[in-house]
Amino acid sequence: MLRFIIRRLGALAATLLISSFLIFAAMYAAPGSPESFLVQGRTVSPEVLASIRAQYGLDDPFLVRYGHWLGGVLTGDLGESLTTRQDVASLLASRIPTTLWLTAYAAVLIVVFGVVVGAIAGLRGGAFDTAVLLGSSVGFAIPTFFAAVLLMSVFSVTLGWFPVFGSGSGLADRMSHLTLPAVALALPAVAVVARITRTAVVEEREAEHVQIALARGVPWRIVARRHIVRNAMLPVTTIVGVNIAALVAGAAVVEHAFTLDGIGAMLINAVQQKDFAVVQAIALVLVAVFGVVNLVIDILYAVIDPRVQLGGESA
Amino acid sequence: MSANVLELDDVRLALPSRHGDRTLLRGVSLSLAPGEALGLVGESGSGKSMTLRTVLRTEPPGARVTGRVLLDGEDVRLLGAAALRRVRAERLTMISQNPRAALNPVLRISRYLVEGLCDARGESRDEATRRARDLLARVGIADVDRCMDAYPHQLSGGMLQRVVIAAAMASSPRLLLADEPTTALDVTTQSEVMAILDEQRREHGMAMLFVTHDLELASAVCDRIAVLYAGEIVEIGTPAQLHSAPRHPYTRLLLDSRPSLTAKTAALPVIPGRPIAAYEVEGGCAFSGRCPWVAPRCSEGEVALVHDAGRATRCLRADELTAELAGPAVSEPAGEPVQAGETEETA
Ligand SMILES: Nc1ncnc2c1ncn2[C@@H]1O[C@H](COP(=O)(O)OP(=O)(O)O)[C@@H](O)[C@H]1O
Ligand SMILES: [Mg+2]
Repeated sequence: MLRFIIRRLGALAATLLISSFLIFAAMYAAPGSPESFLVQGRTVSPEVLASIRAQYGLDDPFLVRYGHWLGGVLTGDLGESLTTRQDVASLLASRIPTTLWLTAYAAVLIVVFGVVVGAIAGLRGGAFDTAVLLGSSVGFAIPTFFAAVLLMSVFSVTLGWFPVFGSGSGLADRMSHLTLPAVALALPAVAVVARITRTAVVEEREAEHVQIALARGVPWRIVARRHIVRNAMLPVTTIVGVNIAALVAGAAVVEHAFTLDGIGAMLINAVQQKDFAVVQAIALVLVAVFGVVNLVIDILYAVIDPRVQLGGESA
Repeated sequence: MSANVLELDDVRLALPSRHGDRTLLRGVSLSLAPGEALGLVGESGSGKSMTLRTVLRTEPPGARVTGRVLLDGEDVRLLGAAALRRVRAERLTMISQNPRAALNPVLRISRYLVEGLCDARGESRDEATRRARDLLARVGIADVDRCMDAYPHQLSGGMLQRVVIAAAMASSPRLLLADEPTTALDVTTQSEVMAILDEQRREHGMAMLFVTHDLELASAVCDRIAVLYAGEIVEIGTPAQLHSAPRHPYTRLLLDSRPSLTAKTAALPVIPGRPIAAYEVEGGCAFSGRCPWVAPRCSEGEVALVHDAGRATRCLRADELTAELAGPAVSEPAGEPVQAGETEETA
């Protein structure tokens, strides 16, 4: 187990290295140049332009710039924002809590509503099942941005139950500020997860060992929990994990719509302003989050299913 | 109230399908005395498993079942959910063909065993664990600790079937339903597992309804054998009666089509034609289409199961054919023989 985790962390480091190169190259190749943003359309003399380019090292060869940047990243120096001249690491640090809270909230919604509702629909069947099937189709079809606007206009503007903007401070205030964004963010994933959970549960119900457990006189409650839902969690775990990992990326749209000061909104701004250092740093964070979430899923998978052997060693 | 452990009285089963209702059982009647072993033998698809399922009430959803299934005189078909669960936990038990599919792959063996005692029967967890270990030892498992902690995929099919047998014995039920319990095992473990099953059954004084396509195996372990064809019983008798003097042509052909241990034949005789399903029977004797002794009156109406001196036969010509069916192997009747022997499907 430990060796598996160490190996996977090594692989994650390699992935990050390759990603960092690709991200850097993509930024390098992207149209438009940062200095044109810095000068804001004003006409400046070629000397000034040259001094700006020199200051940010924009004239160095690609590999030199990459090496320089990578060296910084490895020592915790993510560079300096082109637009605000602030340290990117501390900028990120101030933004990360909001995104973390938002995605954690959405992840809880996915697990509670997606998994629980899907499992009940699969176990109970009937009208509830039909309602879940319909609801999940709708939930999946609504674009996140539209959902955000809709939720805001109904629950914040019309009903006034939730604040419209900002991310709040303190637990209760945060929860109230983040409820609508988290709902908007989680909605498509809840729909997918509910649907997959339901299908997995319905399939597992038909399994021979389930029928046999019932035929042995094991009460339905126990069979449902121990044999049906538990085994159905195998495929569901993967789907939940992928969806939670994707939340971090999806957070950009929601943070933008609800004007939250998370790294998602920061990413959108940075892209618009060609703020290389910030975009690169956030992209790296996203890759890292994806890798870590996937690692956690694999470990969880081995815990749920004893047949899975982590990296060829007995679990 | 009868003294029989199990009595099936004209059990019929139909399943809805795209082509209308399909009859799978056409009036199965049989009885089991306490401690008796009754073999239910027939070709694949004849309805052996379906018969067992009507007893356990695990038939496919939507199935319509009529007739009575009396367990100690009580009709299990009429039980409410709670009473059915109690009957399943305490008085009936089932061993199925494939032990690997019977156990939850993600739970330990100990869970499976303890669950049957603790969750189904309400024994305390400690007591259940102690008993589970004891049961494993009694089915010949040497390393009980290892087995209790193992997951199903870590054990062989033979070991798993022993675990299933141990679990089946746990409640010392009145009746054991065994559906081809050794078919999925490799040949070397088959007889071993069969021996353990038989020994355990006798020790606990259980009656057994033993389903198999193997007439020889049934003859070895059963007190009586019922031969099933197209969803109905065509003959019931003791193994000795069936072997020395079969009274139904189908039984005779089943006996002829098994490999002989003494005489080496060039080609094994096979039963002509293909087995028909219960829903394909159109009046008359179900076997008439394949029967070498068929007479015109055989297809004229339903044939009744006639009881006579402890055995039963469903054949209009049983009396006229007595001598011929008991005689030496019949020569191949006219018509192309078609392979129709034991084409056992892997469920
Ligand atoms: N779940 C099911 N749905 C529809 N038909 C079934 C089902 N299970 C079995 N059958 C049909 O019922 C007949 C009897 O099956 P079964 O009792 O399993 O035969 P066997 O004697 O081999 O155990 C077969 O023709 C089979 O195709
Ligand atoms: Mg069968």
